[in-house]
Amino acid sequence: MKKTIIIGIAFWLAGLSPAFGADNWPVPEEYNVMDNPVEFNNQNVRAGRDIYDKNCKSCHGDPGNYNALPLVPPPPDAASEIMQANSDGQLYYKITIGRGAMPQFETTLGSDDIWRAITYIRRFDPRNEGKLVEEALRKGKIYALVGNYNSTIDIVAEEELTDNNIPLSNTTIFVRAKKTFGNLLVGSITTDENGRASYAIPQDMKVKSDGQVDFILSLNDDFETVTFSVSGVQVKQPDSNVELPRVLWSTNDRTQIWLLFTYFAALIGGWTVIGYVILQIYKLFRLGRNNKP
Amino acid sequence: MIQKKSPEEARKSLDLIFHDLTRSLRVKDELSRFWLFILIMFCIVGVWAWGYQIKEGLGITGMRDYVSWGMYISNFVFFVAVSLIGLLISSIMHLLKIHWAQPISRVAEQVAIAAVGLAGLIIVMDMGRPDRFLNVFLHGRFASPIIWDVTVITTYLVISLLLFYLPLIPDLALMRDRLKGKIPEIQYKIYDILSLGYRGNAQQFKIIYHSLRTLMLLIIPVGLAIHTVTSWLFAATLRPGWDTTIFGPYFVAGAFVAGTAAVIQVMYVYRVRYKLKNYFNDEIFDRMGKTLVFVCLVYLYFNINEFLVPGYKMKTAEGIHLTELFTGKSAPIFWFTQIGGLVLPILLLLIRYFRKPFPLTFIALVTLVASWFKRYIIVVPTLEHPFLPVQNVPEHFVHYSPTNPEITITLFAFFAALLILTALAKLFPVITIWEYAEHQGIEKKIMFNEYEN
Amino acid sequence: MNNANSRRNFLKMAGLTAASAGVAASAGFLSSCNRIEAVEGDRIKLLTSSGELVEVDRASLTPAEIPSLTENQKRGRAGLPGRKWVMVIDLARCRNARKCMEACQTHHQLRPEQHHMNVLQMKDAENTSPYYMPKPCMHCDNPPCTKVCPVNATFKREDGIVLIDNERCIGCRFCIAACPYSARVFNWLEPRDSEKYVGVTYNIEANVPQKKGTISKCLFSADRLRDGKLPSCVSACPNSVYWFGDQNEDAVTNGTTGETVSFSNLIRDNAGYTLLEELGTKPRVYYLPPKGRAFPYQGEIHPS
Repeated sequence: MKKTIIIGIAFWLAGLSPAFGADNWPVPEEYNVMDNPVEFNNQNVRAGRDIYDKNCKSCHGDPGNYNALPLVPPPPDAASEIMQANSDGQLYYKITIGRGAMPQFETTLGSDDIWRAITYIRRFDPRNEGKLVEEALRKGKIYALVGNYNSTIDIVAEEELTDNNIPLSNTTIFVRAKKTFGNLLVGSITTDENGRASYAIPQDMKVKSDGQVDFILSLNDDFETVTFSVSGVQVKQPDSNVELPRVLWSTNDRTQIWLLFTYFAALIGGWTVIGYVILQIYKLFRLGRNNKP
Repeated sequence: MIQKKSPEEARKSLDLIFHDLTRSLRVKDELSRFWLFILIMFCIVGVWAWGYQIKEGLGITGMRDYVSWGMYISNFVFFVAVSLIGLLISSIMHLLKIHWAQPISRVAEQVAIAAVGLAGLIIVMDMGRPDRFLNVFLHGRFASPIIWDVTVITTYLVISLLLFYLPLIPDLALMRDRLKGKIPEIQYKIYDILSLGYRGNAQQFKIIYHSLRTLMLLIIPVGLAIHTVTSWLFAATLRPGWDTTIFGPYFVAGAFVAGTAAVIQVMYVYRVRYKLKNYFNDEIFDRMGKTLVFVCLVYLYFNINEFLVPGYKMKTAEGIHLTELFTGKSAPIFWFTQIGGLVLPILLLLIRYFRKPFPLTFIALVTLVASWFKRYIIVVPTLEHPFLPVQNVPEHFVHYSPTNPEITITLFAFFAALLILTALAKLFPVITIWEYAEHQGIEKKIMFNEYEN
Repeated sequence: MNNANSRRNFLKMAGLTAASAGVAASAGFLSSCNRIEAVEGDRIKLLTSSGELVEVDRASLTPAEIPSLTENQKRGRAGLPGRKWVMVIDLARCRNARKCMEACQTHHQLRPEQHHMNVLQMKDAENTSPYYMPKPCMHCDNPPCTKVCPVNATFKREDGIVLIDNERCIGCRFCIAACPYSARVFNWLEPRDSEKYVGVTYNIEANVPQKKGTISKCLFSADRLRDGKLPSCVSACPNSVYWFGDQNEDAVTNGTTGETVSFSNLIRDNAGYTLLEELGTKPRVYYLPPKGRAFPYQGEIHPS
C-alpha cells in the first residue's frame, strides 16, 4: 500500500514537473530506430485521420488549431514541433504505453491502426509538405424516396461532372439513422450500373415510440461531403398508449389495489372502533348530566 | 379468594386506600419542585437545541450521507419499543385475567403515553424539513412504511389515551366526591368535568367496562402493528443487517424487554416516593422480575436466530456487518447489549433475591440502558457498511459520532418523557383506585353510595 | 405578469449566444425604457444548462421560455415522452480524471463532498485487479428509493429517470437508507453558494437551487436532455468513458467522441453488466468490464 502511494506520488510529481515535459519522456533505445511500416499515402492518411478523431482528438484537439485540453503535462498539438520532433518509433512507443493522462493504446488499438494514426500525424510534418498530392474530391449527389410501403429506400446517385451528370454505379452509399445524440450507421448498399439502389429497411429496427425515423444517406470519402435526408419514415406503428402497470414503487394513482384496500380497510376499521368508544364516552357524558343530583 | 368486607370495614379500608393513592397528588416538597425545575430546564435546552438545528440544518449532528440515521432514529425506535408495554400489561394481561398485574396497568399506560408521544416528536425532530410535516398528510404515499408508521403511531397514541382515561373516570368521580376544598379549585373543576358525572351506577359502569374491553382487543393488532411497521422501516431496505424477515417479531419481543424494564423503574420510583410499599409490593416486583426473564428469553431466542443464521453463512456483505458487530468497532456495545441486556437479567433474575424491588430495579435499569444501545446497534453499524465503498468524502462521513447538540436533543426526549410521567402522576392516582378497592372486597355501592339515588 | 413575479422566474436558455443576440436586437427598445430598467434594476438570474449562473437583463429574453414553478414541476414529473434513457459506462477507459464529478457539482450546485457522480476505486475480491468505477444514480426500473418515499417527493418518470422534487421533500432520509448504491446525498447544511441562488425559481430537472434539509441525487441532467444535450458528466469526460442514449432507439452516443453505436451491440459485444444485479433493482446504467484498459490503475492519484 505504502509503495503504491509513493509510486503514485512519483507519478503525480512527474506530471507536475515542467522538466518532465514531452521532450523528457524516455523511450527505449530499440524504438528510436523503428520505421513506420504503413505507406505514406492519401488512403492511409485518411484512415489515420478517422483513428485520430476517435481516439486522440478529445485531448490533442484538431491538428494545427492548438485547441488541446489544458492538462498537465499539456497534450501537444499534432502539428506542433514537440510532436513532430518525435521519431515514428518514439511516437509508436508513447501511443502504445501511455503515461499519466495519455492512455495506453496497446489495449484498444491494433499496431496497424497506431501506425496509421502516426501516418496521419506525419501529414502535419513540414518536411512532408507537398509530398502528398491531394486528389480532387469527386462531386456526387444522392436522391432518395421511401418506397414499397415504408419498407425500402430507393436511392439514385449521380456524379456531377463539369458538363453533365452521370449515374454513379458500383458506389457504396452509407445509410445512417438519426438518433437523439448522433447518427448511427445502420447499413450500406452498393448502386447498380444505373446508379440506383434499393435499401431494405431492417424489420427489427428500433425506433422512437412514434415509430418514425430519419435516414441520412452519404457517400464515401472520395466524394465531397454530401448527405441526403429522408425524414419521418414510418417504419413501425406508433406505440399505442399502453396502460401502465400498477407497481409498488409508483405514485398513489398507480399503486396496487390490494395495498390501498388493505391500508384503508385497516385504517377505517381501527378508527371506526375508536369512534365507537368515543361515542360511548359521549353516552356516559349524557348519562352523567341526566344523573346530576 | 376476595373476602367481602362489611360496610363499616370497607369504608375504613377505602379511606385508607384513597389516602395512599392520592398521595402523589399532594406531595409538594422541595424535592418535587427541584425535580420539576430540572425537567423543565432540560426540556427548554432541548427545544433550544432543536431550534438551533432547524436554523443551521441537520448538519449540526454527526449524521452524514452514509450514516444518515443516527441517535434520533435509535431513540425513536427505543421509545416506540417502550410504549408497547401498554399493550402487554393493560391489555393482554387484563384479558388473560392475570390479576397481580392489575395495579400496574395505569403505570404501563402512563409509560405508553409518554413514550409514544415522544416517539412522534422525535421523528419530527429527525426530519430535514419539519416545516413540511403536513406533506405527510397532504401528499401521503400509501405504499410507504413511513405513512403506515405515522398512521399506527397516531392510532396507538389515541387508544393509549383512551385506555388511560376510561378506567380513570370512576377515580375522577371518587376524587370529585372526596377532594372538594382540599385541592385548588381549578384542579377540582378539571376532575369534575372529566369525571363525566360518573355515579357508579350499573349502566355507567357497563359502558366503561364494555368500552375498555373493546379497546383492549383493538390495541392488540394496533400495538403489534406499531412495532412491526417500525421494524419495516429497516427491513424494507436491502441493507445487510436489516434485510431480514424476522424483524417484525424480533422488534416486538425486544419491545417487551424494554417496556418491562421501564415499568419496573417507574414502579420503584412511585413505591419509594409516594410510599406505596403495600401497593407496588414485593410480590408484584417478584412477578415483574419473572416477566422480565420470560420476555428476555423470547428476545434471546430471536437474537440467536438473527445473528446465528447469517453468522453461520457469512455472506459477503452480511459478513462484514457481523464481523464489525462481533469483533470490530461495535463489539463492546454489541456484547453489552447481549450480555447486560439479555443473559445477565435472565441468569440473575432466576434467583429470588434479585427479584426483590431494589436489586430488580437496578438490573432492569441495566437492561433498559442496554435496550437503548440495542437500538443504536441496530441502526448505525448497518449504515456504516453500505454495499459500495465510501470514498471521496471527509473522514466524518465515514464514521458516525453524535455531536453535542444531537445528544442534547436526544436527552431532551428522555426528560420530556419524564415530564409527562411526572405530570400524569401529579394529576392522577398512579393506581386505579376503584379497581384496586374492588379487589380488596369493597363494593362499588360503598365507593359511590353517598350520591346514589 | 408583474415584475416581482417574473424576476423570480427561472429561465432556461438555449445558449448564451441566443441571449446576446437578443440583447443586440432589443437594444433600441431598451434605450427607450432605460430609466425604468435602471430604477427597477430589472436583471434576472438564470441558470444555463451547463450549470452556470448568469445575470442578464430581463428585456433581452423572450417570455415564452419562462416556465413557472408549477409548470416546471408538472413537466418534470411527466418526463420526456417516448424515451427510455440509458447510460453505459466503459470501465476500461476511466482514468479517474474526475471531470465528470466537477461538471456535475457545478451543474447541480453541490458542495465538494456531495457527489451525484462519484468515481470509486473498486476491488471486487482479494486477488482481482482494482479499477475505477464512476457511479451515478442507477435510475433503477425497480427503484427501492421511490418505493419508500412517504410523500412522493422522489418518483420515477416514464422516460426512466428517477427524479426528486425538493419542494416536496420532508427530509426523512428513508430513501438514503433504501438505496443500495449510496447514490443519494442530503443537504445537511446550507447548499453551496446558496446566497447566489436567492430568487432563482426551482428547476426540478436540475434540482437547482438545492435546499437545506432535502435530498439530491443524479438526475441524468434531465434539464439538458430536454434541450437535446448530453448529461453534464457525459459531455465533460475526456476519456470516452460514457455512452448515453435512448434505449427505445437502441442507440448510445459517446460524450467524448460523439460516436453513436447500437446500445444492444455495445452491451453484447463487451459483456456489459449492471451493478449489484442480484438485488433486483434493474438499473438503467450499464457497465462494460475493465478489460483492455486505456490506463493503468494508479491508486488514489488523479492528476488533472
